[in-house]
Amino acid sequence: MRTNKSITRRLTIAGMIGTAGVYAFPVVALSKSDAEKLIERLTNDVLSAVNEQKSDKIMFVKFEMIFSKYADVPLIARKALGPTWREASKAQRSAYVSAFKGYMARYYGKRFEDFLGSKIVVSNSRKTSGGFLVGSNIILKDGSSYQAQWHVIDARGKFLMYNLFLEGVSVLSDVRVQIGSMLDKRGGSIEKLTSHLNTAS
Amino acid sequence: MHYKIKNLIKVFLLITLGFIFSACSQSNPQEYYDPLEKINRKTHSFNKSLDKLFLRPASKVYGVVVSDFVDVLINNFTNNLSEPSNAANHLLQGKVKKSSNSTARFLVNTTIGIGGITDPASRLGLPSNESDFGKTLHSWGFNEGAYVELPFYAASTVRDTTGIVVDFIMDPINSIIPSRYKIHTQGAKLIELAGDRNEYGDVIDNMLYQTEDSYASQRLYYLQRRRFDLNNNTISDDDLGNPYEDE
Repeated sequence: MRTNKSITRRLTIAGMIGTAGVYAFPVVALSKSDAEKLIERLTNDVLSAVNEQKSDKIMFVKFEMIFSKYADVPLIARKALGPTWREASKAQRSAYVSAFKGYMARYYGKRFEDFLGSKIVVSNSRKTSGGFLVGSNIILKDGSSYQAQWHVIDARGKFLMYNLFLEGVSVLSDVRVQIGSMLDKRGGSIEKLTSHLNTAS
Repeated sequence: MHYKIKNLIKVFLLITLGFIFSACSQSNPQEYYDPLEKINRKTHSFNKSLDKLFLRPASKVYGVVVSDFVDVLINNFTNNLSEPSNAANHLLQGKVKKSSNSTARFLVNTTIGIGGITDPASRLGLPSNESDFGKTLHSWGFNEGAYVELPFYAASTVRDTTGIVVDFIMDPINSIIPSRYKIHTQGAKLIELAGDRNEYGDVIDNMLYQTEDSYASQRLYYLQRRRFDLNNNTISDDDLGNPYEDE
């Protein structure tokens, strides 16, 4: 386990150097095990945040950090918003992305509490165009299990999570429905949506 | 005999009707076909108030009154009642092995399993494999058809609704169990409804009462979950979409 971690660390450093040297050297293609390791680290971080059983506030801050670290947040935020993104100014976009990040941590964070004491086993991954689909099994404390598939993409030479399918249901589609409906209720205004997202859960 | 022929004609008509509806559907996995949205939304609010007034409270009572042990027995019993239907549908899909598995499960659990309240078949290496006529229609190449929200029954599609009706009319259990026991089996299924609502309590509460638009969320969860199930729990490249495509 320890060797795995140090290998991971070395790979991460190598990856960072690779990213830095992207103009100087040809990009080394990321492998399936890189994608799986990303999801292993991500789920470990989520589970340890849940198992600490701290207050919601602390947990949500942790989830927000995990989300920023492992996911392509700007891309997910843009996809969740849809065509409105194109009409938004640069300042509006960045305010929206930052509010979106907090919203995601709270909206899904509440649901993650069900994962208290559960285990996640990564298995059965496959290559997709521009990334990997990493399969996993979430085994809850009561023994029931759920299938989770993680869509990991090569974001500028670095693997990031893009989407998650829980028993076949796309989290991105789910968020799109939520955000779309919030936007409709606010007459399509991204500013009103952003200020709502700052506190919504 | 006459009764059976009449049933067969009904089934034939339903399938034809289902085919006409589903022929004009879209097949993009990211999409849904919901021409009946206006009516569906009305049905949705009706179903939601039913849940609020009856099913949700009944499930809370179930959670308190029925012990986990009895819950498992009820679950096993109603699951066992659907094994003949599972067997028939597997067979119609050409899955002979799964069909005989369901038949064996029914025989073992009905006898050794005391009328189906326990599930020794699973421990004997005969795992549960559910099926329905909606799946059979899918395997025969029928499209999903329009999304429909059925009163009392919640989310479905034209294909799955056709499946529900056919399963109901043609259920082999009807010719296995004497009709005087029908009230008991139907009663058990009704109780199981509260049991299921209790089991998935948080998920359903969340979907109905904590989403921005519970109709749209339910449609999404039902369709994507069902498609995943029909595709043997795999996510296709189409499902993944294109992260870099601009909209």
